[in-house]
Amino acid sequence: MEEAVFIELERERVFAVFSAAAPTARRGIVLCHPLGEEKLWAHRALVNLARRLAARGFAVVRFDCRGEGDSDRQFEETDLATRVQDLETVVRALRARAPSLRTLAGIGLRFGASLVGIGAARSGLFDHLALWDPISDGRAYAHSLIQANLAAQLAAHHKIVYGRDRLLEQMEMGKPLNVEGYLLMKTFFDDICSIRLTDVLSGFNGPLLVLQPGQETTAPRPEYAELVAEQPVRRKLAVVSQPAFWKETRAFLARAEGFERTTLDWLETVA
Amino acid sequence: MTPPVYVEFSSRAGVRLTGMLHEPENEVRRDVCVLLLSPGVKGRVGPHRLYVKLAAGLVSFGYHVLRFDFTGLGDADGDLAERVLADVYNSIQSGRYVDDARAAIDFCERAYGISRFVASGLCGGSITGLLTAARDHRVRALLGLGIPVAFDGGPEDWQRHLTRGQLGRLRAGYLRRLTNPRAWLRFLSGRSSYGVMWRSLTIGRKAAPNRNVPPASPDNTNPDFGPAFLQVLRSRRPIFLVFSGADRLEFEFREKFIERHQREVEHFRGFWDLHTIPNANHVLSHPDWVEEMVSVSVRWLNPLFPPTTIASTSGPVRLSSSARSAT
Repeated sequence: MEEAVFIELERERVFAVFSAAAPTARRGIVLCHPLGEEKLWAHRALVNLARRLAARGFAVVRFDCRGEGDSDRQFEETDLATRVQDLETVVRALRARAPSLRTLAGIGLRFGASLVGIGAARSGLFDHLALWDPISDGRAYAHSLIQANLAAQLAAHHKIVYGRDRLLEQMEMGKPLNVEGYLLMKTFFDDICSIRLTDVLSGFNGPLLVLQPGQETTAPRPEYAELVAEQPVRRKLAVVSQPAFWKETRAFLARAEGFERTTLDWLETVA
Repeated sequence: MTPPVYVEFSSRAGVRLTGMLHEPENEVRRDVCVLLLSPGVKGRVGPHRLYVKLAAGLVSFGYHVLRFDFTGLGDADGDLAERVLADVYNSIQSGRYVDDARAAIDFCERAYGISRFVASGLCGGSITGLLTAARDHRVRALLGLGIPVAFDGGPEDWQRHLTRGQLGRLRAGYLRRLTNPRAWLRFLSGRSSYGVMWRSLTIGRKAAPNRNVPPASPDNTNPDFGPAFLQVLRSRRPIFLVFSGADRLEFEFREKFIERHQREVEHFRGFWDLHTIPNANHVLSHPDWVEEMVSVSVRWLNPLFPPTTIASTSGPVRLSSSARSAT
């Protein structure tokens, strides 16, 4: 059973879906979606994750950040600060619904993983974190968003009309960067560039799981290894066989089987 | 603008479906609902929240708008058995979600007293709309955005079923890259699609196929498309199609449907029309393209559903400089 609600936030609305749990649920989960079109591709897998967690007795909430999904605001009217505010609001709402919660975990995918990390470090929102393919280097991620724009220009015009430097100049002048139809303003772009997950999580001392998609022979990414090495007892990195369900693939991926299984097993040991 | 209302209703198979209903503030066309049928597997919001933007545009002209998640997708219940994305798309094109669309109509009738419906949507949503319209006369009109005529397949299928329009576009691309060293490197290193290249360069030597004659060998045309389209036209219900200029779908519509049903399609010419947004991609990712799409859509829709009361001021339809009048 689920309940979809609009949570009021300063006369605006954040859309959230609470998976019903027993009133005495002790363990809670907040799911954070990735950015932009990755959110749409990953949506069903996150819905199914929420339902599986709820079936195991967790009180779960998943939500749309303002500017995305069915929440208020246009995408270009949002930034990192609004997203952190959304997350804080949703956590408060979950705690109000499930006052018996003893532990609260944040599970985030891609940019959503960075967001739960920021929420944990800055606002102490979470006791545990599971980060699915987190954006650890914001500058590199921001560069990939520019690349997406350049690819779209090539497809539309058969050439690059505005190169990288020109796009950055335009953002300085207040024009948005169009990333697959999402209009990214400079404030948010700069926010993304400033993210270094190792720095963000330096103040987080709870159990942390980092999941990297790959095969058995895939080497851990150095930035993830660095993140985990800071607190090797409480932090775990796992390379998991998991197709990238946050992108268009040939397979129809309604579940993130690999990530889900590893996360559930880990939650049973920490939550 | 009144914020949308979250709704739930049951599919005809008893599955819980979830959606957002946008209610108009003014009373102009309150008994008309535009169903924005979800595209592909992306749910009720649509790519880059296209459906949220569309709904805002339509509601400002007095229409109800319902966008909802199909069985097994978005927030709805149910599961899909397919493991290949193209199989999901093709099942949609074969009418998988017609019953869900009809359940949405049932819901709107029952809960809101709405009696007239426009089926609309992007890509898979538009073909669902067409197939629904063919079976349900409560659908008074079809507004199809990027409607597919042919099935999806793998890269080998794509190469086999290229339209003349696509081959012409590819030829233009190859000729543009004649002075591009990287393109030559690709050509000489065996990484080009030589068969496609040859076909694109020799297409001018082949005559256009005879009209009203089906292809000599089966291609990837959706066999349900033609009968449904003609069924809707024969019942005198209007159809408006909006295509993206950079997409392949208009070529497929013209070559795999119009050319093969020329006589009957021309007989009903007064009941259908189409508009092409120049250079637009499939998902209309530029705000100007969305604006043009909303503009031409309401310009077509509004005379079909005249105001039932005096309208409150909605403001003019703002056209971008690239807007064209409907063909």
